[in-house]
Amino acid sequence: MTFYTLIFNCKSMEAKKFLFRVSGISFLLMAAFVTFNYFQDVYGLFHPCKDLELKVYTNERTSKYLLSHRYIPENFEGIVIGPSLSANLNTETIKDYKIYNASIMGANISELRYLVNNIVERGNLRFVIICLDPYLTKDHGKKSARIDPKEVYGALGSTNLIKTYLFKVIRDNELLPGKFPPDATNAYGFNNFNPELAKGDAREKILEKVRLKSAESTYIDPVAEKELGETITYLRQRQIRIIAYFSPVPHQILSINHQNYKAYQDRMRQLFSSEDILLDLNHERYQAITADFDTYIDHGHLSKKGRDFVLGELRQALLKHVQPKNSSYSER
Amino acid sequence: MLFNSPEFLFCFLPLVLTGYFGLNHFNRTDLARGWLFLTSLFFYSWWNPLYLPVILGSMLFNYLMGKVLSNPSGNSKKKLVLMLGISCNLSLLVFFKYTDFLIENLNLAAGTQLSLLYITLPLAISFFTFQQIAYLVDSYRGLTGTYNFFNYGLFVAFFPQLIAGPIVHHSEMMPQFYTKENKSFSYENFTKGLYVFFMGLGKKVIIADTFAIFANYGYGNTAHLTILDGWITSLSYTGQLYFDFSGYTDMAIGAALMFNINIPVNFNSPYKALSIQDFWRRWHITLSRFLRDYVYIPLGGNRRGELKTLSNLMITFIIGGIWHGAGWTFVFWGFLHGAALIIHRLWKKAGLELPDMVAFIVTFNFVNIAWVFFRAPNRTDATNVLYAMFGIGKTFNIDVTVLNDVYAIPMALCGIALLFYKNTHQLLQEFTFSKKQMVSAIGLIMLGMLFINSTTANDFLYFDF
Repeated sequence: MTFYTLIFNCKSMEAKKFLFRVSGISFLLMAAFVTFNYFQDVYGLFHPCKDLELKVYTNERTSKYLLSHRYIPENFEGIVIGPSLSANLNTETIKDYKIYNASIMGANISELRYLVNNIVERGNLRFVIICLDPYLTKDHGKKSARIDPKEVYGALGSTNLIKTYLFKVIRDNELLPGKFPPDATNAYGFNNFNPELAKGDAREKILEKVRLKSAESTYIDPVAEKELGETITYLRQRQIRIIAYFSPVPHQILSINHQNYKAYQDRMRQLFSSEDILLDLNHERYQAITADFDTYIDHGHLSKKGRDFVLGELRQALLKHVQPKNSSYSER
Repeated sequence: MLFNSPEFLFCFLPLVLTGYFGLNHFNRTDLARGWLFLTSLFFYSWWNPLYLPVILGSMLFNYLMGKVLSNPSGNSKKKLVLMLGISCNLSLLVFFKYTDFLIENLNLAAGTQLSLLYITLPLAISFFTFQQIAYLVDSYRGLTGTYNFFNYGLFVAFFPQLIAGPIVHHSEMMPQFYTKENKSFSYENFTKGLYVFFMGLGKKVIIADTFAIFANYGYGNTAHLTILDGWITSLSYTGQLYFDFSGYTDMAIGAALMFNINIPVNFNSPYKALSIQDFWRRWHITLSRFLRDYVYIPLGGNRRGELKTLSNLMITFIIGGIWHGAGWTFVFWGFLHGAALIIHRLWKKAGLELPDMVAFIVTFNFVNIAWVFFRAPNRTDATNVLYAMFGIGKTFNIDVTVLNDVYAIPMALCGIALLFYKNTHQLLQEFTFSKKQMVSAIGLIMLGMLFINSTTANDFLYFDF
């Protein structure tokens, strides 16, 4: 049997009516769905979003990429970029400045550049904080299709949007607080993944790495290095202050890989100039903190103690080099 | 241009339909066919215009060869012309598809150090080459009509079937472009075409791309698969391949139907097959038909004794395997199917029968295991997956790492259920212009649009072949 022979028993008017009804109803339903999404505007793309508080509910890559179009540039004067090592810094705690944490779990510099460019082009960014870790430059290129200009249209109706609604309902209404706590993220881009990742003893994980001599690779991908250099130049050309910091690495792990890590730091330092602020949080003077197992939740991600340390250092550096808009803040 | 892209759905397809039926409406039927031919070439060159001279050159060459071969006053050298035509077609295919494979093997066998050429494979070359070889053979047999170049070109390049088949036969395509009633727009055909198209779209973007998440993860980490991972990986690819390819075929059938053109069915619930022979009557039917008519039968088919029949079966399936890709895994996949068909034939001759359920389980599992060689990038990955599936060198544990996206699991379960539900062909047979169908059509369209507007990065699998 062929498909042609299946064109049977259909009066033309029936088919015509059917087609028009299907097309008409589909069009109306789609229009209604798009209109609903346009007014919901969960990523702040279609309306002014000054003073709004928009959170990431799912799919951090796409969400932060979309928020970088309007929400971040309209509301923040500074951003933090980096991989998961900085994603759990709650920048809301630095009251002197309004800083969005644009770090993304597992991101490299190629991906973060999309966000930086959007935010710089559309806002009045004053400073960018870069979390330096070999992870940021160990490879280049997009790791998934989730950062894509097409996602802007997706904000009018896509599977990602439906997933976002679902998690918004679950989290905001505390329907499953154990699995999806409402404070997992905040309007400052903070990703509170610690309860999820902090499973097991950090001491054991660190010592296991030392025992196996399996320190993280310090390889620098040449393209990623070039992209990081270009990002720094791009920011500098726009008089945006650059504050970079070497994210704390457990001292015990660093000790087994000291030469390689030092070589990595030297290569990174060459990208920065004297105008930039470069903090080495693995310097000997911080050894009491970096060697403390309580600073971490595993072999590298920071615990509350570690986060407070990094945020404290960043705040000090900012206060020294970037005048707060509301100077009364700095008195705190 | 992908069928599941907005540029195809909202620009290309409406424009081509309007132009085609508009020109036909004003009795410019030649122009209408020319329009369809040119827009098909545009569709083809959307990926890479550099491919265009290849397909145009191939069409022109085969058109001229066909003319010589179909000339009734032709001379006795026709067979020579046919051999030349087939050799040129195969040479083109071998050059683009198998050169690096041949160099690699030569280097390995002879110890030479020839550099690989890294030739880019022109899209659809395997499909349009086979289609045109069939045309040449039929011209030689005096079974083709007289066509002008544009009409011949339209048969080869008609965009719904151009990229990944079905592999159409000139005798089922050419007359349709000349049938009077096919020249005016038909609401019935358009509606049914749209329905089939969106059904195919759903199969691809909802089901196949979901299976792809697990299959890609599994085949990307073959060394670390547990027993359950091994089975989930292989079954995911089995599902992905079917929904991807049959989804594409449904879209092709649906798009063609909008032009009142019927292209042949390519899948008929293949995983419900009760024997390997039954499977090949249900899977990629147009390829099986081509291999039967233009390889197996010319080799002698089953007319020259049992041993020759069995060897013809093996040769045919090894050719089928290598047609899919330049690699020993494809050859081995073809060999496995050839061997299975031989065993099946001997089994049947011995008068043995299996209960349906057992036959189904044996067939499905054989096909699933053979797909491992089809999908794995190399022998090591293939054996890793098989070792995992059968627990060879693994300690038994029930850990599952492949199901890395829990939200995709319900969709995959729906896919598994759909494998054994009615197929598109059956659903279309039951299609009526009722309220129930209206709801399902609206549902399909809404879901399809939602997924089209979602970022997916998966091309159709058969584009690689």
